[in-house]
Amino acid sequence: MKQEEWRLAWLLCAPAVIVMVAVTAWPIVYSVWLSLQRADLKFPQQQEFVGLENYATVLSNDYWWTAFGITLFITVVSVAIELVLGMALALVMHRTLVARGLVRTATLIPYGIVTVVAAFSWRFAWTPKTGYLAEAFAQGAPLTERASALAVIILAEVWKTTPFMALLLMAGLALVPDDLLKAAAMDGAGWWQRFTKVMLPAMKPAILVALLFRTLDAFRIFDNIFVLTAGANETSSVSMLTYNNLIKGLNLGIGSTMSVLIFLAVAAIAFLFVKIFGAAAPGSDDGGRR
Amino acid sequence: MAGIEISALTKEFPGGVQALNGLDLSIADGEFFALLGPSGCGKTTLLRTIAGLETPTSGSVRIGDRDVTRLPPGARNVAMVFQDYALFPHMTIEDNIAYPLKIRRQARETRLKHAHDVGSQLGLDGLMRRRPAELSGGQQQRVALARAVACHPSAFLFDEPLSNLDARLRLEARTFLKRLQRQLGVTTVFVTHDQAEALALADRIAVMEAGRIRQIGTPREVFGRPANTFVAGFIGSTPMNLLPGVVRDGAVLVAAQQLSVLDVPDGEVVVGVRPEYVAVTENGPLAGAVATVENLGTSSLVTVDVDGLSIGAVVPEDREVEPGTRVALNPTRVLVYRDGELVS
Repeated sequence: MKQEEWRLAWLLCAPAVIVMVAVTAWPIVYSVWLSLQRADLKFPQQQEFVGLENYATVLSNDYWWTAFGITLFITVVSVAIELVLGMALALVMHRTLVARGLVRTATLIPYGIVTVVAAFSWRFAWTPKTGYLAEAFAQGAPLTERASALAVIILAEVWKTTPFMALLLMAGLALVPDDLLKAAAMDGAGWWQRFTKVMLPAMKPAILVALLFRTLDAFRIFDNIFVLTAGANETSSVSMLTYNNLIKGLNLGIGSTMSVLIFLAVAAIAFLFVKIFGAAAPGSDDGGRR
Repeated sequence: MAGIEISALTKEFPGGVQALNGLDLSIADGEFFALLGPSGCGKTTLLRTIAGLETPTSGSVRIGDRDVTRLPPGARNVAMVFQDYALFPHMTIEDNIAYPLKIRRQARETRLKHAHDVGSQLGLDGLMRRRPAELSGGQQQRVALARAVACHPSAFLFDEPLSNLDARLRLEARTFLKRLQRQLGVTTVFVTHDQAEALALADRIAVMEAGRIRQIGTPREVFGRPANTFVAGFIGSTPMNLLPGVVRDGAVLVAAQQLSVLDVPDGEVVVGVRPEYVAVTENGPLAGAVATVENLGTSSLVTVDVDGLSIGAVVPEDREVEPGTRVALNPTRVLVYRDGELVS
């Protein structure tokens, strides 16, 4: 009887399991396997098992660490700006009484535009002679210098995904009990105190989820950089670098190694958020117990 | 400590809903005052306007000798206990109680000591380091009370303070609340839709309907002599009998039988009499057959059909009658209403 049930359970799960294995598990396993090989399509005859040699190569390489630093920089700066702007937008959307639907729709437009399309508009806008932003704000060509190029990349990233942040935070705002805010007002708390002492703690789970999603997303940034600078002047992210090695350089071994490293970094970020910050979230299953 | 004076208070919400309609109300210093009424009568809006959470459209609110109409809630020196307590889930009990003091920039030592003093006064010893989610409903309510007590306000405002407790706990909390208010002697206004709660707790009750006050009085006055048929129907755990009647030469007639003689002009009236004041006897002016008997514990509510009228009477537990029995009814303390208002 027990065995029968197990068989039925596996049968019922089988379709999902097969699809998951085919589209997720197998590619991951295959990249890990590739990352342990010398596998270069330019020298297909020389494929062999090399152990962790590819990892040593990548991790001792300056290009990798530069790209890693750039990626972290873009991630931290853009997510921080997005959090502040997103919170402001969420508060505006939450408070708006007139034309609420219109305001929300207008706010969401950037998120609805395909990243590549948006990135091209930014590129054209910042191109000297033809671009209106370049004409108005910049001397020279901002996308050809590292600092200004990074600024434009971050600007494009922030413009594009702040609405997403705002949307998640607005869902969190809706969870703040009105009575708590009123009680704080009765106690004499001003607007800022109500925001920091009542709203933010009550919103903590929503803020963490929003930060987690955006951090994971931002760490894998690719399309904005691909269109805006193509990684020139040391503006490559780790995803750009992986793409260059894997698709352009046809070096499957090194490319896969980088993919696996990105995967590990993303997993570490997720672990950090869930285990360290997530544990103290009020309203989670432990009822906020210490 | 201070009394509360409300004059010509009107609150109109956007969309034209008139929640308060030219209210005048005077609450004495140290009084335990109930705002009673069905949902939507404006009682909560009135409380929130006193608190400063709503701004009145016109009229004024004075607490003590200050006009607070335009002051923000935090500047009015009143404390409010919310229906669902509104405890901050991320703070410990002691921090919750001390929060108003924190806003007033008292040192951590001082405010925690004060929080602990108030906490032990309200029987919260041993719970001070916990968080609200770990406490029972009754304990949470006491924490909310402690938070209100801790900041020494000139008035307490309670919004349905007992409605989130189960029936048994509610009685306990009611006694506790009344004792606490007596001890502290702080002017207290509370909102309730439960007439029994208002009768049990309050020194005076304002019965509200549709943004107006229909009667203000002590529990005894409101129960014994409801000023109109609305209050008559609302107060009392068994509904008052409101019977069509006529007055002819001072004689009050229901179902063509004389109930009493009163100094009232002739004409059609509504005769009100509480089931508690209707005696089931052998000889009485009204006669009919018992339709139903509802057990109320120490007494029973007997409904008697008299010439097509259903009249309720409360009988003690050893005087119950079987349905179908013919009985006579002898109403006392008869009230007469004309056009909905009490005339005698």
